[in-house]
Amino acid sequence: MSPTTHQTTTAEVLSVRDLTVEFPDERGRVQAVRGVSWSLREGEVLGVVGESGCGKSATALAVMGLLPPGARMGGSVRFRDRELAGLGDRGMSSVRGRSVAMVFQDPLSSLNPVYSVGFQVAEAVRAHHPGTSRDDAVERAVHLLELVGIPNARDRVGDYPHEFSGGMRQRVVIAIAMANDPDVIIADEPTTALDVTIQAQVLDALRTARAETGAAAVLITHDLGVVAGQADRVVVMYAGKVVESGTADEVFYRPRMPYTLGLLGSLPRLDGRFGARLTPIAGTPPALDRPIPGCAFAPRCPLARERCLTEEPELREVDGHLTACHFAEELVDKRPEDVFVPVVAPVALTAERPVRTEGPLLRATGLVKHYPVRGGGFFRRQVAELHAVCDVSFSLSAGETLGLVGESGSGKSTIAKLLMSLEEPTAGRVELDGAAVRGRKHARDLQIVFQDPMGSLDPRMTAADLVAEPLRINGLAKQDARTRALELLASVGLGRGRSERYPHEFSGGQRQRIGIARALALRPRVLILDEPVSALDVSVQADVINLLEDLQDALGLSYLFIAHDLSVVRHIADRVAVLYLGRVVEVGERDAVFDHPSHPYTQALISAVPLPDPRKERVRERILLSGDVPSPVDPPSGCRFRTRCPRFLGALTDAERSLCVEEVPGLVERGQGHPVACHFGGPR
Amino acid sequence: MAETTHPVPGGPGAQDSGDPVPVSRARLVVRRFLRHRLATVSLVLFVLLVLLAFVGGALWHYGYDTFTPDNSQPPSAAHPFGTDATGYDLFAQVLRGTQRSIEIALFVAAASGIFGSVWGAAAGLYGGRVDTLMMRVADLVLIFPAIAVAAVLANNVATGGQGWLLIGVVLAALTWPYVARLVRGLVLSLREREFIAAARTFGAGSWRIIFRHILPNAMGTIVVAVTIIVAVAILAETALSFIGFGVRAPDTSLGLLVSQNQSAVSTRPWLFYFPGLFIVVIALCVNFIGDGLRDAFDNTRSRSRT
Repeated sequence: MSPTTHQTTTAEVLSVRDLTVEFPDERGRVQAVRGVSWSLREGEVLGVVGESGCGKSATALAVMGLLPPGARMGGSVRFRDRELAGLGDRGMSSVRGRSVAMVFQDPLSSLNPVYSVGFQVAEAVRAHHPGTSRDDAVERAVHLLELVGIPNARDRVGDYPHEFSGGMRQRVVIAIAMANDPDVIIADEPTTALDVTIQAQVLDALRTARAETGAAAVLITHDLGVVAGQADRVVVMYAGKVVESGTADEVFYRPRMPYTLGLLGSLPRLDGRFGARLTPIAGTPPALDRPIPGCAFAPRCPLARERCLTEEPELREVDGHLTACHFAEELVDKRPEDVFVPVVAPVALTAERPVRTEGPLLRATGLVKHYPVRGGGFFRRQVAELHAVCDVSFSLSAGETLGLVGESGSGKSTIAKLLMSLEEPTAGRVELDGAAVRGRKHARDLQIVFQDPMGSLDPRMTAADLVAEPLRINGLAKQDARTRALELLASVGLGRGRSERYPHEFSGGQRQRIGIARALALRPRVLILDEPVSALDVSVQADVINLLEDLQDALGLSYLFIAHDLSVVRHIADRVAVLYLGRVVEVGERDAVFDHPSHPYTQALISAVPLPDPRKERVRERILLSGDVPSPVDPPSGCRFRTRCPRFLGALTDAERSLCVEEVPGLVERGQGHPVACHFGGPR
Repeated sequence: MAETTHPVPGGPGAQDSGDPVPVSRARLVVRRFLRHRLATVSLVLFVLLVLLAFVGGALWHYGYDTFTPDNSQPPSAAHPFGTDATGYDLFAQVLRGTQRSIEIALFVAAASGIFGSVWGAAAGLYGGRVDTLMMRVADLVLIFPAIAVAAVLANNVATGGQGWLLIGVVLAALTWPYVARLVRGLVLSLREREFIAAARTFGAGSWRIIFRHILPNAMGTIVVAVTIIVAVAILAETALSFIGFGVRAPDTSLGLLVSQNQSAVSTRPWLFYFPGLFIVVIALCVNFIGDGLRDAFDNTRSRSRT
């Protein structure tokens, strides 16, 4: 469905003028929002984009009157002709839900775990219509749950939130938001915690909700792709201010603010431009605990000059839309790489070990991992088995990057643990250079970078100690280990005086650099990258990706790149293996898999990834998968994907279906040049 | 120093020049502790109290068991805390009592802290059956009514000059499960943290993981638990002596003094309030020192509450 294109004449439903929000902080007060204005017109979708800490969520909370105690708010929020700012909690109660409804990021914490979902939807109905009878309210709840796509809604109204998956819960939250036919729905990162195929379902439910209620929507997200596909107009926020605002097309195709251009350039894309180097924005957003005299983006902006540091740019119209940059005119016809010169990472390390080998460097054969599921009784007997990884084989050559793609529950992280010997495989073997990897014997050759850079660094150790630790364990003298650690830190761009800081004093991207430096300490040949950039903001993510590419070039490393983000994988990987419920469903050269996917799951996955390109998004055809990933405790027989497979549920004959049910499809080449595990694999 | 406590998100203005000389961890802990003002004051006060009790007691011209010709005197220059009906100098007795109370408390805290930590860490690390067994043993100890058991045990064996040590052992034997449970819980959650997995991937052994990663992260909590035990032990000793099963005359303890003089609250209040004051001051000091230590061990906590 393409976003409706409304004309500028329609009335404003919600408008925000000069909004400011301050939060108390240990060091004084933080100005989270510093004068934001935007307006939402009848029936339109306004996308608010920005990285974490730019004030998008604070704006939403201020509109809803849900700021935490201690926060100070200024400016005006108008709903039609009514001023909402300063209305107080009681006054806001009549607005919330009925006029303006909100969908939060975390569906688990926005539903009350002790009430059934039906009760919670019915409660929302009755909150503004006290006259409604209980039965009528439940009846309406069932109807709403059906609308947002909860299968067997009538049977499930009595179920509790924990009995639903994340995507289903988010749909329940959307149903609650719809309950009182609101005029505005504010969705704050509604799909951030969800897998991409589930995200597509939830965005679809949100669209249904809008169609049903005729509500306008504010869609707050960090994902430019989601905005491109959903929003009519876009507001880009940076450091608590609006820095650019216009129609989706204008902002995406003619950005006139260097920050917007930089964001677009730092985004790996599933379509085109891959292979090219990303252009990250240097530095990190400013701390907002003191006034910023000039343009907040100036310290990171390649166009910045004297004036930017002293004079704050006002939003002004350039080429048909609003931008806050003194030199916006200079951006005409500029591509991100013309403005943001890719920084060459200071890699100074040299490969001191031979990297060339005959045949694959790392080979996994028939990996299986089952976890026991234990009962709750005293003896904790095993009651079932969780099939996390099922007969997975792959190989990795020297200097190559293999992308391991899959959604949550696909077994990617378990595979990483098996390779690192953090878990014992139930069956199968891992070989490095032809020799079986057992225990920690190959610790030096095989290293891992974890997803959560905060969690994987001991909070009680300094950066230098963290990087030196593997060296110390492997017998290097204290002073030598330290020298080498400083060298490693410098090579990942963390030189000069930051070595004695603790993890919490670094930004997310810098922490991940420490993690990478530590993984490199023992001069490994293979680096397992377990979602190394998924916890990072877009501009920072690009920086880390570039660093990984530089390190690979300099050191001849092999990467096993595990990720759920297909765009990132397409950017960095040479070959790709797609996982579903513990099995490889398709594997091949990157472009072969992405351009000619043969497995229906790969096809759905690729089609579900939003592109940061409004025009392409409007005409794209999405394959919406039904339902959730089945439980790995009791996976479907035969082909594990069949319960959600559009082919199985659609075109196949009964005879063909019984093959899917009875026989596990092997990885076989089926006319597309690369192996695919589908009995009926082929182009769409 | 500010740069190690402020979470500076590496932005502009976060640079400093050159690699600083690494400061040893112990040094950092000391520095951070000194920044906690209440804790520093408490530590000084506590040290002064200990000196007063052990050195002052030896120098004071009356012993705790010296009869003086004055009885039931209110505080005066000769007897700063006054004297009791028998003619004992209360100042000398309070100093002696403080010695005993501090000895017992520190012994109990150290013994149950160490034993409890090791027991809890082992249970948490080994997990499974071993864990179940070890924690059931701890639970078994916990269900005994501590004071009653201590009274019976102490009554049967507490004789002679080393009686305080026995009381200490008994109290430690009854308090270690608190530490063990706490440490086990911590180890269970720390064990799952990714940085432990990270340490294993580059070949760190179990001992290194325990001493380098788990204990430093658990230290704050252990220290707080132990300081609470110090306070609990002082109060428990007081209670035991109060009901007559702790330290015996002619030796004395703060608890015994309070108990002996409770009837004098209205007539000769000094006999009751001076030892009572010492108990309160010691317990408070130890708790504040614990607070300071916890913050000192925890570098992720910026200087928030002081």
